[in-house]
Amino acid sequence: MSTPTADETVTETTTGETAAGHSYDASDRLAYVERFPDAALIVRLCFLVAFGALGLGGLFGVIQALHRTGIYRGVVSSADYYTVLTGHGVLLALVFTTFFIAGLFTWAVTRSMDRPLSSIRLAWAWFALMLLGTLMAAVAIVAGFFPSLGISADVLFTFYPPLQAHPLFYTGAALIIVGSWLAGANYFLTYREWRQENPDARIPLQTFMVLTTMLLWYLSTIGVAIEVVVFLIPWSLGLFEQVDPLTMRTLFWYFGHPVVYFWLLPAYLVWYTVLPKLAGGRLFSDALARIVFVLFLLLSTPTGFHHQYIDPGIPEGFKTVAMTNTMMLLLPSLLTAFTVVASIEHGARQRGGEGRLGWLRSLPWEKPAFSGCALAGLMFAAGGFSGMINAGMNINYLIHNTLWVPGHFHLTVGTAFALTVMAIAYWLVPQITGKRLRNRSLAAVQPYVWFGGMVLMSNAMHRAGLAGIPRRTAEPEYNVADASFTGVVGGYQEMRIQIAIGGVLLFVSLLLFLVVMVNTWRSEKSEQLRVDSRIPDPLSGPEHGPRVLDNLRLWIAIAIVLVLLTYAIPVGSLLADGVFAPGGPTVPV
Amino acid sequence: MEIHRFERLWLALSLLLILGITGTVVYGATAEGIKMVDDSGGTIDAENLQDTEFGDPGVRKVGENRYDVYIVAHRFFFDPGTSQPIEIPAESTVTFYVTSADVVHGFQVADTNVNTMVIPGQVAKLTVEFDNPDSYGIICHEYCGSGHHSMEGELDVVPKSEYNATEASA
Amino acid sequence: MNERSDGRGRRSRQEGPPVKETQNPTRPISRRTTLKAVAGVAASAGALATAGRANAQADGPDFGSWFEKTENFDGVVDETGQSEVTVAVGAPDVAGGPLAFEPAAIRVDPGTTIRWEWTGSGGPHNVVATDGSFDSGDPVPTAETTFDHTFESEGVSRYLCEPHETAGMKGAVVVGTPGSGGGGDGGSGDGSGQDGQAADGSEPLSGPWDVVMTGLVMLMMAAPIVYHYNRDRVRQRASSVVPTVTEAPQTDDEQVETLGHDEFDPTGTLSLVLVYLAILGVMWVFMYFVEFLGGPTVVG
Repeated sequence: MSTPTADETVTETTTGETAAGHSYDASDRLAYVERFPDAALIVRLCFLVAFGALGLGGLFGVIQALHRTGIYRGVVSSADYYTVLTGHGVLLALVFTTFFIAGLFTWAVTRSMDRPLSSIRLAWAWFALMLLGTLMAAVAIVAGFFPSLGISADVLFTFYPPLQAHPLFYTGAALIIVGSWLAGANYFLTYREWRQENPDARIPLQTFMVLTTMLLWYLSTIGVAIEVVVFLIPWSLGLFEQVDPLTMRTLFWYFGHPVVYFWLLPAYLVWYTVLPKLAGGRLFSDALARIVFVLFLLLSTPTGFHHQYIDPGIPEGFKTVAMTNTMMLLLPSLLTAFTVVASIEHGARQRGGEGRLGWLRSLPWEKPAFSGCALAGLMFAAGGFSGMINAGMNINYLIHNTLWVPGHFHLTVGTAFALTVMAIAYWLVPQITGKRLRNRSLAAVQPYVWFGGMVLMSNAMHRAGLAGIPRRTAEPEYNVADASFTGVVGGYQEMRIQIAIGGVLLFVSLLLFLVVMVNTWRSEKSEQLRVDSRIPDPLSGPEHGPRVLDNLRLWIAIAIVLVLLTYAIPVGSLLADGVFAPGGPTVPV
Repeated sequence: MEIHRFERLWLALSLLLILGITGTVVYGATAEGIKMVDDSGGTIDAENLQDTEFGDPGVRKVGENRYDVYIVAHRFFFDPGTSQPIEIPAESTVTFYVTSADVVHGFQVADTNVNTMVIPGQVAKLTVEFDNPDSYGIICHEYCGSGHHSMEGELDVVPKSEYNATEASA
Repeated sequence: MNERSDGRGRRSRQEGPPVKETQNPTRPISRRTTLKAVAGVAASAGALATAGRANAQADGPDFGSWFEKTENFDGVVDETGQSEVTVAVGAPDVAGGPLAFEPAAIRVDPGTTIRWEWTGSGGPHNVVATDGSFDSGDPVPTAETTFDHTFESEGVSRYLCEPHETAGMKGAVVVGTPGSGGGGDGGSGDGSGQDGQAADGSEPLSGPWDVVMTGLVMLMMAAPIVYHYNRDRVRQRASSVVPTVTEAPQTDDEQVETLGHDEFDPTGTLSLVLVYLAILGVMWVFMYFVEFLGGPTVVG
């Protein structure tokens, strides 16, 4: 198959001028920053905020790791630990993720449709809105260290009422979400323009992935948007006396599960479309990639009750439905494992790899963009297992709210997402800045340090969780329960040391990444990069999959129906016994 | 649509795995009789607990080897459980009723599968069989404020003979 | 067990990277506009900040941050004119209760005896002065336990409950009207904040300072963005010295052979995923049947 897809079209003339007025020679392929300078600026700013949040959130993380393991408690008091924990969760799981994804998606749609964003002013608007929301939420959280200010938001990333934060916190979070909605609109409007010029073409794969992910995002953020805008903001301003904590939890977790796919699917976008090329190969199957994304769009949201398996007030029937839906969600991830590894194997064999498993050695492990993504995928396979346990309804009793849960999500969002981000940044940042990567030897080793740190930390967290040690706790030492903390393998103290060492290694790895990024960013533009963005055609292209896959309206309609089936009755009955009741007294923190 | 034969094999095996996992969960729910915490505990007025059974929390004998324990979670202690341990005899079936007087808490009997969220306005009802004498710590595992990490209690399952001789705590 | 830090741990820095001044004076307009916009944003957020809950406490000496985590602190309660005053230990029906002394802060005349009376709620408590001048001993939980101390000289005494210090179970006794020449305060347990010498009416930080602090923090966080944005604008305009950036010329150095669609069977992948499946199966069985079905479980 050699019909050029939209991915391959390159704006080239024999000689000419770029938008910024520079002349160039036709045999050179222009870097992204030259072809789409306005979009590149937006992407750069998104990455700047994302990496800043990553750095600060990571600093909070290492403080936590040392504090709760008892190694060093001198940075903050145990009461302030919860302020640190709130900052860690919000900066990493909300700010770092959303901004990076917005930047990545901006790059992906402009690149794959080979056209600039439909409106750069809209892009500035959503960026500014998201930034404003971030600043407000960050101020509310950090002000918790300064009690004389009278502002705090020690409510953690999940902000469960009746614990109440300052209205600045809720408003900031709401603005970040609304900004992201506008970003989605930007992508859809650009797609619509492209569609008018290409009425019969299949949606370019990267754009398809962006659009399905954004549809998922719109569907899933409805829950938290209602929770925050309709209930929590007025409540925190004193307009409502109380809210129903169970209803608020339900609305939050309506969002709280699909949000992890909002984080995962961009990583999948990288693994499906860029990783095969980094491995020297081609994507094994385009159609299967589309199927996987459609499955996520359909199934991600009607599963939220699996975070509420042991909530009183929710009947077991709804929990069982959530369980079966969640188990079905394993399928697209298992399919991804096959397709991505097959694509990598193709690359390895094209590089001369042979044997049943010997081809693994022929891969470019010295290149951090490749190694980071590959290691992220490997750790995700482990994280998937602990996720299956979480999803197993009754076995959830064993590990709910224990340290097992952070063990799980540090493997998934903390590695599958975060390490993929860092890895792809090594490939993408040169293209959006026009600067060659600096400190390449630091970059080459950084993913391995992350891998080592995460293996130590998360395996100890999993074992500690099985022993019953709780999460979200500044000092997990108890008078009676300590005796019950019998470990599966290894002792209590040994687990804590592993967590501390692992956490420190992760922070070191993060610093390595930031050093590389800062040095690259501050260097001068180069005439020629060392990367090229050409992505070869898949081995099996979109023409081998049914056209109905591109019918986004059909899929979103089915997704909405599934959500209604799962949530209409439970939410209805929660509201029927009183929109604001039953509840408890408000507790500002 | 074209699917490579290896991928078809993998698809089939993946579906089998999913079925197998779901099957064990169903087994646990049916053959082992494990029930999830649900809405059978009912709702309650968190600000007026003193007018309900929770006004007098503690252990009550309700039948031959059957006991009900009413527990209220506060910031930052369990009543009963924190200032004095909860005592129940071995070889009994105990139903815990747990609610909160203020914010969302957790209630976990360490080293067991007795684990529930405690939500103001809702009553979590869990029935557990305790066969052997043992001493368990109770932990609050949901963040409830700055004193969260000091929130703990104790559950003592005492030998049956010893229990009859002591007063059930009121 | 490592010793717990007291409530006065060092504050951690939260500011973003330091702001750099650009040397280029040729674009004052866009930078000023951007800075104005950010300042406007900061001000409006500051307004929202002050619209929020009012936590500021008014009368009495400035306790600094002593009561930062004490939710039932409601100013200094006037208990002057009595020879004996009772303070509840473990008050259940107040904010932060029962890990609270109620009232948290009181004013008494010199020579008054304060009787702390345990309610029985909230587990074991004790009453310990930060300057060591009184100490009820080891923590006990028992209702109707009492502890008395008579305050002879003017000053401010702070005290706490040791096991619940981090939960905010603290109190203060203001004897007479210190600051008018009487003895200083009863010692400081914290390292920050000032001990007020003024009598009633001095206000801690609130109101316009909230706006200023909020605005400053927001400015510092937005600064790197603003800086970078402007630097980029400079670069685009000073284009004559900036090269046209091209990508690496495509080379196939590392590729040894080309495998087309019909020539490739992912046998290695199949082996790897089958091994993965086997591991999943074994781990699941172990987790479910050994770990989970081991102990007491909820059956109804």
